[in-house]
Amino acid sequence: MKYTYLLLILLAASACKKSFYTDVNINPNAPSPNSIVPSVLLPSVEGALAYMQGGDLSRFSALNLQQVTGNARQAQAFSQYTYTLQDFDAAWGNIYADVLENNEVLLQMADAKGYHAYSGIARILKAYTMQLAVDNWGSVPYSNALLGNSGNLKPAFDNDRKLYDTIAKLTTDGIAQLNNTDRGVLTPSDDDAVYGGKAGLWIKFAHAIRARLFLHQSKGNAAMAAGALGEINQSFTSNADNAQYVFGNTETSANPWYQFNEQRTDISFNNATMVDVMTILRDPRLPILIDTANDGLLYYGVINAPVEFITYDELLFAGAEATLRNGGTTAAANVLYQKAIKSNMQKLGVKDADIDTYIALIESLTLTNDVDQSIKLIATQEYFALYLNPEAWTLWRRTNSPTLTPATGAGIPRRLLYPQSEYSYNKANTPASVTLYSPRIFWDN
Amino acid sequence: MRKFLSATLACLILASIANAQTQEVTGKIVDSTGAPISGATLKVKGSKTGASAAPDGSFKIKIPHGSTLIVSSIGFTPQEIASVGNSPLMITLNGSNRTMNEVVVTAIGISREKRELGSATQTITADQLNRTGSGNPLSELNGKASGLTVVNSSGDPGAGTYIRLRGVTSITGNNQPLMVVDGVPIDNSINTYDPTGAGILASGANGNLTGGTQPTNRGVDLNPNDIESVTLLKGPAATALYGIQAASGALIITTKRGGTGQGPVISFNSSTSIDHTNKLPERQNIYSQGDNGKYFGPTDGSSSKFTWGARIDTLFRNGVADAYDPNGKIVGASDPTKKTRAVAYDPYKFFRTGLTYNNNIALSGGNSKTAYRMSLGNLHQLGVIPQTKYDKTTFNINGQATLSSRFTISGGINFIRGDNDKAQQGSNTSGVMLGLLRTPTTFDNSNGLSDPVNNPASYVLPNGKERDYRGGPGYDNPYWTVNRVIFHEDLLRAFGYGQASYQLLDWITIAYKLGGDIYSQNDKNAYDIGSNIAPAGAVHLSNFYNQQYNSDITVSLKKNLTSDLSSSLLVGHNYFTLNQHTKLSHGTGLTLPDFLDMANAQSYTNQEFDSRKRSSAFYAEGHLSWKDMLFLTLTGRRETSSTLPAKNNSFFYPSASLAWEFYKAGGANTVLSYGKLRTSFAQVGKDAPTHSLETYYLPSAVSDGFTTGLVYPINGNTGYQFGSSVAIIGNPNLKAEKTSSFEFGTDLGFWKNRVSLNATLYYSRSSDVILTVPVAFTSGFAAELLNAAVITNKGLEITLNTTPLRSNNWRWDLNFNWARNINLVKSLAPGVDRVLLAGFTNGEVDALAGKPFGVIYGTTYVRSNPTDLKSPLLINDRKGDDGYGMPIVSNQSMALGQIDPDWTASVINNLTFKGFTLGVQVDIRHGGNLWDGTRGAMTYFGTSQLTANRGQATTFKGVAGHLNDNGDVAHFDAAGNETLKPGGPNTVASSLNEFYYQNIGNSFIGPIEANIENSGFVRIRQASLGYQLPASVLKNMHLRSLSLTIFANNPALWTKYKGVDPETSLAGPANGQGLDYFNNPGIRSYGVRLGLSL
Repeated sequence: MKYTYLLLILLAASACKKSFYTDVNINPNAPSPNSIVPSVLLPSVEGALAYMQGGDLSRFSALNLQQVTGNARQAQAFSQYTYTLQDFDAAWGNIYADVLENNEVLLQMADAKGYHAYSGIARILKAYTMQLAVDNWGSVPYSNALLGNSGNLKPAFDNDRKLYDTIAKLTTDGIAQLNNTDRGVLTPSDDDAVYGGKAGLWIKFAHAIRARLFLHQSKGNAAMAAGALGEINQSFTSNADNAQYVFGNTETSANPWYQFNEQRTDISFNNATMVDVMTILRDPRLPILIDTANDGLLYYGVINAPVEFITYDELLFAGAEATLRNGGTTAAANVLYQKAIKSNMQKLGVKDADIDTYIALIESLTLTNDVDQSIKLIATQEYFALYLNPEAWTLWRRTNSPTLTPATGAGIPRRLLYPQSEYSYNKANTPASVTLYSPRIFWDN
Repeated sequence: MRKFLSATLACLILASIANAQTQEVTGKIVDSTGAPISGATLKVKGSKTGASAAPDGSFKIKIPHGSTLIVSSIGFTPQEIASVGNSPLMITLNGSNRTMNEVVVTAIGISREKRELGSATQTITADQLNRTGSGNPLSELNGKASGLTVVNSSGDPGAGTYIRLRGVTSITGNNQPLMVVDGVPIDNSINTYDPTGAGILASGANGNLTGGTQPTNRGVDLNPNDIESVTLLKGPAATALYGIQAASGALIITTKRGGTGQGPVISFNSSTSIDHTNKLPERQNIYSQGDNGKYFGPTDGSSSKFTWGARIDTLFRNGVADAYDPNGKIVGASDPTKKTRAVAYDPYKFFRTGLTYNNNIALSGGNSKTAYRMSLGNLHQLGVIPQTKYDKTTFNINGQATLSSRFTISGGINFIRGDNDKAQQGSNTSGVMLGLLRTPTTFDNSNGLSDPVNNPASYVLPNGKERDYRGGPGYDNPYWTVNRVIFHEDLLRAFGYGQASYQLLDWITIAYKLGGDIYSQNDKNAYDIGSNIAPAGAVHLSNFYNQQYNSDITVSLKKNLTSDLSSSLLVGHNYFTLNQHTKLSHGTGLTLPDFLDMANAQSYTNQEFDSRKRSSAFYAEGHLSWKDMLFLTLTGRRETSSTLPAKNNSFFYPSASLAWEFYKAGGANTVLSYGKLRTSFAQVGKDAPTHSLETYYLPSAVSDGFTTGLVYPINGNTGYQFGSSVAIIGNPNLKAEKTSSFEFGTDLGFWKNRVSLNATLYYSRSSDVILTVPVAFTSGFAAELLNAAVITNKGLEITLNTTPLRSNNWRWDLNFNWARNINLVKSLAPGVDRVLLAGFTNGEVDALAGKPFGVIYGTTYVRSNPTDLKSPLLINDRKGDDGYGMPIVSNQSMALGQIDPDWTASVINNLTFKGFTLGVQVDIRHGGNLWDGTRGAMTYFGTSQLTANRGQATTFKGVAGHLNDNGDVAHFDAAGNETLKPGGPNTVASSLNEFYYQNIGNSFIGPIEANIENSGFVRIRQASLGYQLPASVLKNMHLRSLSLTIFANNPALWTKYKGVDPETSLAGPANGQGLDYFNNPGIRSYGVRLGLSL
């Protein structure tokens, strides 16, 4: 009899309603989508963006530009411009899957729920990230990218020049959202590792991005240079305004250069063209940036070192360049130029006396009436100031300054290759016959 | 106790009164060698009365006068004794899988005579196991059956064992067979966390484990001493009744039990063996550390990483002892401080002699109604790598009781405690072999010390930093690794079952069985400050808690429909539930050195991974037997699984099989003594991985392929992410995978079954195979789950058993197994023709559409026709190039090798003479490849034996040419003009110099093709010589049996493979076999085994 009961129990168990099965298949380690709030998404986006820029993109740029030298394994190959398509998978994957996808989730949630401050920040982060993508790769997916979860796994590529317009619009929309007096029920504060939720600073950052957009297109185009100047005037006013991400003091929150040097040791900081030039100039920043005795990275290589997105000194250099390109006076440009050097040195902690000595003694720190020559001088100093920042490579491609001797034949690369994963899984859309030299990014002429 | 005895006695008396016309029969059941057959069963024909033999083969049974006794045991021909004379009887069963009449346990614990089966099975019995004393029940199966693949990942104590029946049917899912112990499925998971690799994603069948330690699959927890037999259910037809869990076949393991009607028997087994590495990569010992023919020492910067220095016989030591060498620095011949000649050190003295003790004691017995067995076993292993060890203690108790003539109960439980210290392996700067094999022969890792393992002066400099050949960053000194990079695993496990069976009517029996398997595996992996992989130090704690329960209720009906036609029907219901909890804690940045404790860490991150699963099923099996020669079996199972969406979560699969003993229809003659044809068709399915229907938010983490990256929270901010570089898009439309298979076979016996042949031909097609398909990152994700792939397997399995010699004193059995499986991955997913299984970007094993599963994929040399691997090599004709006159490295990747062999075979010899038994098993694996990445890297670093001929002139075979600027094949004609198409045969002599070996002749920098090697082998798997004392002697010693065996495991190996034992796997027991990248070596053992029972 009791077996009949047992049988009945078992029959009952298997005849239970569907939830008997479906309930156990819910992942208990994943929060329900309803409990996700902007304050857990924004840290993911900002951290991934900073790690990607300060990791792969920084190394590609710094190796190409001889700010550092690879002395083993892949880094050594990169120094010789030997790249495989797989070498770009990580950066590309980080940009789209780790940064942009989650930023899109944040943006849509913020728009849907009227969290205007987050809506603004998400647009500005999107603009900045897309600008990095365009400046490194040119045409990239945008319009129907990031739709994997709704079925589009093979996005088309958008034209790079048009993407610059899209980026400009993102910044305008972002500023508008941040200017909305209704900031929304949930507002950013400590979860925003860049600005602690301060709308004013985000608006300045948006203008800084716009300044880059204009400046990148300003060669032989005074209107663009004027545009850049207009944006710079609405942007950062001191080093305190810098857009940057500061890492933590633990191994799992450490700065990407710190992690690379700890875990790989494939890059030398001593043996680099930049160090040679700074040594000749007796630049007081050199011992702050690099430990030449032990071939180590100092300022940008400590565990919690910041990854800088756009800084005040970069805008001052940009202002100097734009002034010259817009037909401004050498004197006006020179003021900005020297102020840029000074700000950069102050940021790095050079003593005021040393700054004054440096500016007074070095002839190349005063601009001349030769515009091309002056832009070369600006770009060389900016090359030091943008140490390890991928914007340095963009600067070099725009100005061909400072003059560098390519490590091997074909010259310094003008762009990155599309990654293997894109050719493998989105072949129909991914432009073929791309090399490190062509096609160039639309502003690179 | 006394009460129990008297009650039992009363029962016996009552029973004897009830059966006044009975006689008591005693005796002993032995095999043809005179060895007792423990657990042999005796039955009175036509009644339910029965008994089983004690471990010494003795029995006692009461039977009605004039009745016929049927004596049977798994692996032996049953014997009928019609007129039972005076006892004691001496019953000899002929046996051992030579006949078709053995009883096998098939799915859901159904016992059936093998002759009635329409599908292929093979049984391995206790006397074939345990010959090596390795204590690993899975590796003991190696070579003992056809169609069975067993790969020991390495010789490390506790290393995993990959096991597979026939070919793979899943791309990224589990391909290992279900393990069933006494009718209850048990867990055979791979639980691992590798902090050097892709973390938790690297776990399981789909693991891409390239560093860390060799993982264990939990199937190795069983104690082989407790196993009575292992039946392999090879194809879907045999396992269809088991459902999704057994879609890759099943190992049906039956444990030993006590004999009813038997006083207590104690048996004791003890074996001791010594273990050595059996094969190590060959090193050159002619050239010193350094570069470009110049010596560079540990403190001489990056040139010191190589062994491309001066000839050692031109170098001297200055005799001034320093921290790097007690004989002083190396100096040249002209140096005035020179004292002694420099010598080559032997890095391989790092390995020690391993030791294995395997002890087991068992007590068994019973009365006419009950039986019991208890067993306590201990395996204690000290590995050939210092500081590695494995200690496993198992306790097993089982019993059965006949409570009434209709009601029986039985149950058993196993407790296992494991304790394992492992060493780092593989692609990992702490890997033992990586550090060891890159060490130049002029650097002594042991620092000249007599006990370098326990003397830190071998691996720590006076300044507290690590002492290694590069004098700083690079690879850990192996002595550092085994002391300062620890991996400790402990395991507690219990599994068992309880069963009750009630005979409702003469022809209806109801049975219920509940089984469970629970374990907790705790791992601690720590890196001391200064370890190359984690310079700040790290501690990782992992806990894997697993519980699964299985319930089966069955009703079986048996009826003779007519005198010619008998039938049986079984209907049942199964319920299965699984709960897995994984907790990971990571501490980074240690404060104090040499204190590997979580509390010593400066920051912490934690992770939890839980997974639950439920399934239930109704099933039925109908069996018809006509004239005892034609047998038809039909099965069906309808299963519901929690891992599939509600709309697709129930599915049905059928099977049908037919067996015909045609010899009974007049086919038998003096030559052909047995003949059977069999055929079957079956369908089985597999469900999806848990949590695969939705896309989930997960705790954020970011890495870039070079560094370990960020783990949240960061600076107090928690992070969750939806998309990521590893995020998988869930699929709410998944359905069950389906494998359909046909099988056809024959079993033949010749000359009174002195020769028997079993042959099986099969074909299977798996469709809708679930796999993780990579997608473009621009979708915001890394992969999606799809029902997409199609895989086919076809093959032939042959077993030939012969007895060439049989006389009173002699017996020689010679058995052969041979199998060939042809696998084809017909398609993967739309637009996807390649899926990574394991490995690196330069050395990977993939599933490739249109190729057999497990392709070694990578870069090649440029050929005159770059897409044809058979066309001649293009030899560089650009005069200015360093590689002038050498092959050219292509950046094109192609399928270069295949991991599975063409065929496998084994020859098992067993020769007995009186009490002596000589056993020799030879295994053959023909074909198949391994990527010898170890040799590739050793060649690059200059330590490989291959580089001993450095500088030698050679003229590479091939045609002159190069690739022009457009990437087309071209050559320079006589006038020096570049012309399309290759030129004539190469005549340019070049030198096998450092440039060649570093850039062209290895797979570390050069093409993968350089290090694809044949992994075939012929080996003596086991050899043993045993002696069993005769009964006459034993009687005086008051012993039931006493035997002594000397054995050798892996004593001889013939292979073209140049690395470690070709039976190796970097990824351990996961799907991605075929990679060797500084894998830890295999072992050879010699030992002695004592068996005693009283």
